[in-house]
Amino acid sequence: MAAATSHAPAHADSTAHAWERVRINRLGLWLFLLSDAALFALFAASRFYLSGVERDPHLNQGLGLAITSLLLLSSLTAYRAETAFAHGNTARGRTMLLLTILMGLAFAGGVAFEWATAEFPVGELYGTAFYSMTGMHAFHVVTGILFLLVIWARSGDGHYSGGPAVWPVTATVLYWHFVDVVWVFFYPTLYLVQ
Amino acid sequence: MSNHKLAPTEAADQRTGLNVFVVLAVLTAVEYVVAVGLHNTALLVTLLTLAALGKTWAILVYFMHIKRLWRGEEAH
Repeated sequence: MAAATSHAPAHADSTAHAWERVRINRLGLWLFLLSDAALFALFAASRFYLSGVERDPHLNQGLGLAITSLLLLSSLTAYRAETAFAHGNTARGRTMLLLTILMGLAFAGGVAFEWATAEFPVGELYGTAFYSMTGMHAFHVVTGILFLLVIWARSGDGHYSGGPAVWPVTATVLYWHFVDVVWVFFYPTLYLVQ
Repeated sequence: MSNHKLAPTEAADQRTGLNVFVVLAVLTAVEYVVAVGLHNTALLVTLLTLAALGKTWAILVYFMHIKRLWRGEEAH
């Protein structure tokens, strides 16, 4: 009995310590995202510096809108995955992670298709900006998919069920939302401004 | 827990996510329509910037839980 009651404060200490680690990790992740955001902001600025506000006629507007919608939808499934894990609903969380991964792959495929079919004249500055911006962003999408795959593979045995144990899912989903936020600015910058 | 019947708090979270997505989708549609129909560059850039900032705010607050940076996750 005495042993049982002495375990309770020890468990509370360990949970408090785990939350403290989550707070530190969260701050570190946000600082990383902030520095990464600066990089993307410079890419966007260089696009306007190189080619003003002209919109390139070679871009596929329908494809741009479709992959943008897909990425926004993948943010919803990523959010739903995180909340499901936070509520201990591992099965639903895994399903949502898988949907997010599939939509991420479709987005990357859409960008690859745009790369293969867009006909920028050689030496056109807009093309330089387009390939730099979408290339860097697609690299982040691919790394995000890899992170999501790792989390999905490890979540099968209840690794991330509730409390501070959900942090790896939260961190990966945060990164995914960040990739979405970058595209929120890149889509109008590349496809819509004229 | 069943995969089909959600706990009330989880269901509320999922509804919040859906509402945010609808706002994001509507703003994206507005961006597209405005970009196709508007030929005033200054006005277009202003509207697109406002829409992007609105979408970013929604994602930061509701999807990325930016408030947890100063309130802590255990408080939500």
